[in-house]
Amino acid sequence: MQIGLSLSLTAQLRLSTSAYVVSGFEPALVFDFKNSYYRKGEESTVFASAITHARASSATMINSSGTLVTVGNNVPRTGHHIYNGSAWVNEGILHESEPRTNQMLYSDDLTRTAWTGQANAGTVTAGSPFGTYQTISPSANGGNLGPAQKYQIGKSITSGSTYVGWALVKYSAGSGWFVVNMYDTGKANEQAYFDLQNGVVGSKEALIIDHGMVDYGDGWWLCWASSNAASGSGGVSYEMPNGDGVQSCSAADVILIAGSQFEQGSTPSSYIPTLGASVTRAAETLTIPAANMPYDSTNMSIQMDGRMTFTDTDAYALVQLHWWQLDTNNRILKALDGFGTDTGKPVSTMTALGVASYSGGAADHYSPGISVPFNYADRYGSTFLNSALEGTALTAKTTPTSLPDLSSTDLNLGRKFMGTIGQFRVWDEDITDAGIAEAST
Amino acid sequence: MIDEALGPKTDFYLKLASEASMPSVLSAFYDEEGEFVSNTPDYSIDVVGVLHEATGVTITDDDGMEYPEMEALDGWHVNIRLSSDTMRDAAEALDVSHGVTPDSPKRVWL
Repeated sequence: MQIGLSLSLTAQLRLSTSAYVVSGFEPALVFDFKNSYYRKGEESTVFASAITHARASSATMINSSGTLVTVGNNVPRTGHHIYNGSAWVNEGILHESEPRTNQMLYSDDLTRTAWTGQANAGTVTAGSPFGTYQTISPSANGGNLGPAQKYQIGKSITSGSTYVGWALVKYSAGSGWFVVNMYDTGKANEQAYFDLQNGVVGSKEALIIDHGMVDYGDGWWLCWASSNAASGSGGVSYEMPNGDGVQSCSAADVILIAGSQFEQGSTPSSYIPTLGASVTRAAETLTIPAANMPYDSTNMSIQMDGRMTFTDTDAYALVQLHWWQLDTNNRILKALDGFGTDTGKPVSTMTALGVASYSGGAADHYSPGISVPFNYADRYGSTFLNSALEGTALTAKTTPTSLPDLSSTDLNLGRKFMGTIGQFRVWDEDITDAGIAEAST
Repeated sequence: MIDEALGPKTDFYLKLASEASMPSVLSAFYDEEGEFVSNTPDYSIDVVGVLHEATGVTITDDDGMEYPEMEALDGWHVNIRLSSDTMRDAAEALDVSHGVTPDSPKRVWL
């Protein structure tokens, strides 16, 4: 009896000092993916008991040492790290709802026969965030980039679809300029330039939609470019010019390359190593079973933070953060809109018995990009709906007349989402405007 | 016959006549609204589409870049990977009617 009383007091002490409490409100559900802490009600639990993760293939992630690791089918990628400019930071769970296929063959060995071009490629050597690297260098000085190219083209692509090509590369000697050329037989060359020595994004040709560099530490950069296919055949050429927008090359230039990828999509996804065939990483799902979801028929509050990768595709709900839907007449959703003049507008939707209410941030609250940080909290009630974004509460809507009955409905987390989730919390009560402001800070 | 050492088959390589035949051949993977469901916790489907093969001819463009001339192969290709037995009967029936066993698959799962 004394033991039972002691445990009860300990539990109360734990709850009263929880790091997850907001304005005195203790969440009924906590998924802290960064710290691998999961709680249902008052009981801590484990990932597998809290949430259902599914992915039909292996996948890669970056560990705390900044090294690529591969995890097996249905293994969640918790502990994924992103380089912040000075250190590798645990960003929680890497979640990619889109399947992707890397069409580059022998993606980490440019000496294989799948690769064409006059540039020289060295022996594959241990090292780099992806585990190995090799040198690439122009085979001669040139007035054009012919001697400075290594490429795979002639791949099957779908006209009108967007593709992204990228490589993980590092400066070694010479000018340090690098080109991702999104080759398309319908348009020929589409070059994007990168200064690897200084970590600066250079110019791009008009047909490149977007390009950028992602810091992988120790001088390694993931350089990427996207373009729309205009034919049924294309690929990627990696090139080493003398400067930004320059079409000449020098044999003295040396760049290290660790891996390459050519995939359908607007932004780069996690690395998919290949050998003699193209390789597909399956889509992922994260489902919170209804039995684990707190529910109250009058008031609910939800918070989520992380980093998302997205482009403005001129569509509603281009990112779908939490999706709790019985049917289209009864649901609670959080999404990002990019339709019309919206470029990254967070919108909360609550529909009960067919009556919909909305709470939205600014049309450009989030800017399209790679690993864009976000933190929001919502309060849903039978007479109100409100959101807070990055610590600032919006003006509450008072149009709702009821809360949807989602007591038996699973919640899909990151239903359409490419990025990382740090934390997800749910309260079966109203944590107030002050509470959602605090929760989203 | 199941090889007990390997366990039940989970990867299926299918060759359909065309893209247009997908709704009828893969009807088990369409929902009540007629939408193709390519991914669930029980399976994933990779629609590879038309496969291409090098003809042996090398094309050189105006910039001197060389690449292989490719020609389309017959059929519309679909890869299925099962994560559970929920859709096993449907996948195995498709394997009988449309399954192929490539020596060197052009696309595989990670």
